[in-house]
Amino acid sequence: MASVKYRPGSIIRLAVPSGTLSQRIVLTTLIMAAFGIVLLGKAETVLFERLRAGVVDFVAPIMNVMARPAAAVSDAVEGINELGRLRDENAKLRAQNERLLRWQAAGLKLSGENDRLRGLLRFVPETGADFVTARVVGDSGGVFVRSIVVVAGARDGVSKGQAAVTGDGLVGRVVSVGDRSARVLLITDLNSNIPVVFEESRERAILSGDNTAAPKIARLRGNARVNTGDRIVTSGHGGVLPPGLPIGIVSNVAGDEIHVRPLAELDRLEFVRVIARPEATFGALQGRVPGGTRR
Amino acid sequence: MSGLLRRLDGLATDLTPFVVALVLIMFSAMPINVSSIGPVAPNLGLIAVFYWTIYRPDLMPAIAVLPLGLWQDLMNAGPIGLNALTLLIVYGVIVFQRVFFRGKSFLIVWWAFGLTAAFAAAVFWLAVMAWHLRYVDPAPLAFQLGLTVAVFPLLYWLLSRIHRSIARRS
Repeated sequence: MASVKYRPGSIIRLAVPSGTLSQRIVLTTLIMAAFGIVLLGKAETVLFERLRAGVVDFVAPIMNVMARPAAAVSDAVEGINELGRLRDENAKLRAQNERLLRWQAAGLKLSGENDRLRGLLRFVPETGADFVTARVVGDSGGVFVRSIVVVAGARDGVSKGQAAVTGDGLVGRVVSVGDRSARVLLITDLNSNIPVVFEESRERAILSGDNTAAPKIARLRGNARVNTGDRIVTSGHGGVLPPGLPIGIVSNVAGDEIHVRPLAELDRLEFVRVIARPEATFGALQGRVPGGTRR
Repeated sequence: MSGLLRRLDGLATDLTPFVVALVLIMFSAMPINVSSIGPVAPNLGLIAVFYWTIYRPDLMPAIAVLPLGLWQDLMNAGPIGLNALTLLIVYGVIVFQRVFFRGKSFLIVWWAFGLTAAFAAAVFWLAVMAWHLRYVDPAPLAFQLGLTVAVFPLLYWLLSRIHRSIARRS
């Protein structure tokens, strides 16, 4: 490439002073400007958030088109990986199926009983939750951010703070909204702190992301007992997320360090549902979401 | 060709490196879920800035690097300005070393890019930790670094084709 000659009358070249000293001065000034932007961004978050939502709004349709082939590529790679795991998975699924059939029987029995008891109480059923189903078009919030971009925004009824779920469980919450796109901060992100409750023991805690695949439990009562396999759900405290959304299962307990494996497959999201009404409960959710359908 | 058209054509040529970098940064925000470490895409913007700074520094001045870094910041969800700051610092290193790269074989350029990318990763990692005031696991960044260095030859080939086409027009 050394043979390429510079074009003398280049417009940009004329705009920039030549010579090493002035180059250095320009560069230093720009670095200081960038540093200033970092400081400004730390203090003034609203302005940049709006700017960012605007940019994401602008590129989301382009990314939406490009996401399709990219999804095909990752599907193909995943398909090859999956072939190797098929036998194991099959055995596991059989065992799980058997277990789920037993649960189904128990569920049907309870559901019937519930209906009868509701009838006795003249219980007014909750109006169902509204969902917006959105395609995931970007999942690179950067190296140190776990977030996704979805093509659904303010005009579809999405607003800040709403929960994003798959059929399996909570994915995250909406942190910024443009007109036709929104960004969802995943529960694994460094800045994600979600009030949770252990489904069995009703112990309250905070699920705190640390950018790994398995977020940590924080602020748990000192003498609370936690076992591997315990399910955790949103507690609804703080009023941001509806209570009772399934999140994950305790995967590892080592002293004070408790890790939770999310139920939703956060690294393979293609569609998510944004719950458009925060007051919706999981009872209503179960009625509308067919279990396990993600595509 | 009339004078105005010629100037417009010249402007289009001059803006090519910048626009190519913009598009590559957008590509870096695409979902590619093949890693178990997290959704990490190669840092294509760094490759573009590296390439043009060495071979067409007149078309990749420092004043163009700042908006590219900010574009990267806006496409991503991290703290605003950290990519811009990192990219400018790295640009400063490349621009004053660039005499060394000119006319060197591809393998040497690749190796030098590896060093540059590692330096960029270190700067960015420190900046992120300074911003959050806490330790952050560098594993995803190391993974991104590997990925970026691995796709460098492909991007180099692509960029040198674009380079040739704009050189022919000038």
